[in-house]
Amino acid sequence: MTATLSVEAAVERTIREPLIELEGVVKIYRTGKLEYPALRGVDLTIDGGQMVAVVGPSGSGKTTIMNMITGIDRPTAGSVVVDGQQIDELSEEQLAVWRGGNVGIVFQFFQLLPTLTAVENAMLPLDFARKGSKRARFETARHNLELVGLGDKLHHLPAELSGGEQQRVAIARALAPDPKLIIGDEPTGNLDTQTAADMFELLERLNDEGKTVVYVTHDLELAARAGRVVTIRDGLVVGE
Amino acid sequence: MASTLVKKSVTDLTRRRARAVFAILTLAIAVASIGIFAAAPLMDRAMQDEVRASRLADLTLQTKPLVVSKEQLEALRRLPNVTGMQALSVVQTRVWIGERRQKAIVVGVPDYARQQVDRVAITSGTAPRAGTVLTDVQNGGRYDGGVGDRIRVLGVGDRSYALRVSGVGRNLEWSQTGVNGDFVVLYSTPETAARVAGEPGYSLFAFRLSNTSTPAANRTAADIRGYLRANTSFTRFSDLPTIREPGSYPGKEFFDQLASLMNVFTVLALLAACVLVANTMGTLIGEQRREIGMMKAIGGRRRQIRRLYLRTALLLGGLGSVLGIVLGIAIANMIVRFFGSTFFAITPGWSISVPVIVASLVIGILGPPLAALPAIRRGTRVPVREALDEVPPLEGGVRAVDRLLRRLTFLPRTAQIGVRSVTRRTRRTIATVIQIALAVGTLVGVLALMNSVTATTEAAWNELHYDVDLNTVVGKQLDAKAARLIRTTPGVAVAQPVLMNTVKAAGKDAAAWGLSPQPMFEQKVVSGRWFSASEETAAARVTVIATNIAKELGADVGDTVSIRTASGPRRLRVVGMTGTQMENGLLFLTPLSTMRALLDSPDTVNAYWVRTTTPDHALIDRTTTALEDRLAAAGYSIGTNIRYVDQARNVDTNRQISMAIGILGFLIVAISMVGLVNAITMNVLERTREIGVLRCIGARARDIRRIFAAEGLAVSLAGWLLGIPVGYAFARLLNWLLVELVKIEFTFTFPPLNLLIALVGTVVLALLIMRLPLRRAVRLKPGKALRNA
Repeated sequence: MTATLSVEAAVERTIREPLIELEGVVKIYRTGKLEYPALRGVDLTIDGGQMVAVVGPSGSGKTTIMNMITGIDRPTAGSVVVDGQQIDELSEEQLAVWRGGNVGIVFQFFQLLPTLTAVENAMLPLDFARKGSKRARFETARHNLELVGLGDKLHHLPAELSGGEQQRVAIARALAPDPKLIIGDEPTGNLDTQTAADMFELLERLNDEGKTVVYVTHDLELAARAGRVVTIRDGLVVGE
Repeated sequence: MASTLVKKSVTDLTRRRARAVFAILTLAIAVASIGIFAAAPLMDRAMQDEVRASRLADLTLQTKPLVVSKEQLEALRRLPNVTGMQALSVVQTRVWIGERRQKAIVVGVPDYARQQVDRVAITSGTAPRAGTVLTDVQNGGRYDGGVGDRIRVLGVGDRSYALRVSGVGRNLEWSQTGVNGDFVVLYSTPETAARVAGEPGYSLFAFRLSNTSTPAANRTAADIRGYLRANTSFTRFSDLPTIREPGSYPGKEFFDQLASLMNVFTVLALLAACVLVANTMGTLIGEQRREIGMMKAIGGRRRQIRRLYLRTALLLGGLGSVLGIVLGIAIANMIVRFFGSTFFAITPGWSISVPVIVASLVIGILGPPLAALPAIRRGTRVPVREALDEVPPLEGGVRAVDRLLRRLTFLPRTAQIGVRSVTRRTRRTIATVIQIALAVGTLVGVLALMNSVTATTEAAWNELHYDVDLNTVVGKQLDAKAARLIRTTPGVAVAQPVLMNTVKAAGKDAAAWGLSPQPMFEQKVVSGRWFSASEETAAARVTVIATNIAKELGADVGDTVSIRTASGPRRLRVVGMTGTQMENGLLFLTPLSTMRALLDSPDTVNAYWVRTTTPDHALIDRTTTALEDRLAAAGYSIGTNIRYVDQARNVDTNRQISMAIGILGFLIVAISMVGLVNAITMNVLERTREIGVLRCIGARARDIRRIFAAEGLAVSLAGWLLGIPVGYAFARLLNWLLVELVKIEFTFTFPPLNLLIALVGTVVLALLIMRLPLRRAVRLKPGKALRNA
């Protein structure tokens, strides 16, 4: 399967201000009487336009770092600034709105709503943000689905799509608010090798267009294709 | 492995405490609904206790006031088969309540300390002496005076007596008479009653018998008649002897009818509860899909896994049963106390019905495992690979109903998501829809019942074309002098004499009215004809009978029927049948002269029907007062019934009774709402990760709330729609049941307005009840939702 995305001329990457700044981030999970320190003081800076792979063994804190960046979880200590916004100080409602407008998240298991069609899933963030008219949202979603090679499957339900196609829909959904930042938590983890490779090419193209892409992966080959690899172990950044 | 599996049966509950608690509460409600079956036996037990304590009479006889000496009373006590006797002086009168007058009965009891029959229990204060009275405990609303207050009682000759209230009393028979007939009931001495009545004497004799069979009771009545004829000025009883069947009590038939209606609701509640329990167990087992897969993967056999979950279900059933039994006992006792105090003037103590408790325990413990079996069977048959699949199966979206739901694009996106989610858990949705349909059907059925009862009651009253009914049962009969007084009272346009009595036909109590050939009464002849003027003149032995009694007797036009009157057995030829529902259709109508001849009462009647010059209520009230005053001044002790007042009261009472039965419908509503909360809560729990994802892509709290609210409302609306035919069928069933129980042809009505009321009620209740699970959905933090799903 080949993505039919037309690649624009290579975008000159300029040195920008950092897009993501984590300073002294600590995260401790409490379950009953047990305390589990998932992050022990992480300092991490990611510039705009970078493609960063976050790797590490299971339980090292990779997903926790992603959750800090997206505001899905709050740090126990430290600060998280994304695109100039200190997100650890936002309320849950504010975080939801901020995410809907600024971050595109691609989950390992796609997490599409099974009763919505591909185009409806793809425009969902715009529906929640109440951005533009219904027509405009539809057009944006249609455009994004064409971008990911699913222009002919707008009205298919997720159950009528393959795993790879579902993940493409998930990527189209992530692109809906035209975010600067795309986060993927094992975005190819549930795909076969070929489909995973196609999916990664898509992410690379988005990065070429100037979007910052940060992804968690266990696949060292995929990690190597990133411009930067951050290694996490026992809740700390141990290597780049 | 065995002990681990046993432990798992327990930890499955303790691990997911909220769900376990919810399931237990659900089971408890289901078991509690069985407890309602205990209401009828508990009520009966309480009434039998009351019957014993009050020494309810087995035989009651009424006469005109009769002077009987102490020795003669003693002689009556010593008659064969008599174990106790009470003679009472009963006067129908009025009392002043402020500036208005209220119907009243004064009951004179000779010796409060030695009452052998029909005890008047003194609940507070002291026994009355001359010039004092006890007020009945059920007088509230009609007369609210207490100990120490004075009440003005009107006597004959228009005299007024200010009697001091010495205490509060209660009597099984008279308390109910007060409630049913809208009388203020006062208990006093025979001397006080005589002053009010204007003449001394006992008018009611109550007996307890050693042999209470009907033949023995009739023989005793004959003995009493013989003694009184031989030793006093007695001529005849003013009505048929009242023989109480063993085990029966005043109002028993009414309560049995109520109990039958209650049982219909209880069965419905049980049905709704079964659906709820099956749904709950199905969800609980369905959640365990991966765990079942894992157990099979590591060597667990289906039988072992089945036993594990059956044990869990048993445990849930046990806990739910215990709580449900406690709830059921409370509900049953509350029903008994409500009906006991409202209709029977008693306050029953708390009691239990062992058979119902045993049934609750058995059904409560065994029900959940049985309900869980289909889900357990399904769960253990899923292939291991499928059960262990990390990716949850994509349910919903591809069926015809889903395509239909996708057309609702005019709805906001959140509502579209919610409505389309209805088909993702089909079994659960169907179960919830059924429960809501049962609740809606119950509400609609009860509303239709109330409409039918009101319409029929009003129609029955509209058969009567008089405004005031003057009557005397135990006092001086209404003779020619009374007739002159009545007809010359200002405001009276027409006055018709009527002679009413109780008769027995084929063992059934019925009423017999002697009327004019053109009575102030809608004849509603359905076959044959009305009796003629010549038959009135000839006092012909003819009758027009109501269709209900005709059915009981198997009689038709042309047949001869036998009836037993206060004066003995009589035979009448049926010339026509009427469809009237007065007296529940157990009615014989004869020419007045015929009735007089049957009762050996040639010159007097015991009632007059009066039509006033205009139907203005104020004029009717003034005319009634004038009639009472004039007749009382002339020494007649009469009661009056104003038709428009009695009609309104009767309609209201019947409506209240329907509502009281309908309150049980709330149990079904409660079950359906528990089902809805259960369904939405389970949906939220199952879609926790989905909620987390939605929050990640920009959904606000209100979006999440709207999604699940839309889902809940969609299910509720589907339940409402299904509830319409259920409600119609239920209304028909209730109507049929009422006809069978009460023997009255109720007009069936099914107003569309009731459907609108049910719709509004369903939507409002659903929105209120969903607040809790929606709050839970909204409060889920995305991180926790994505981690813990």
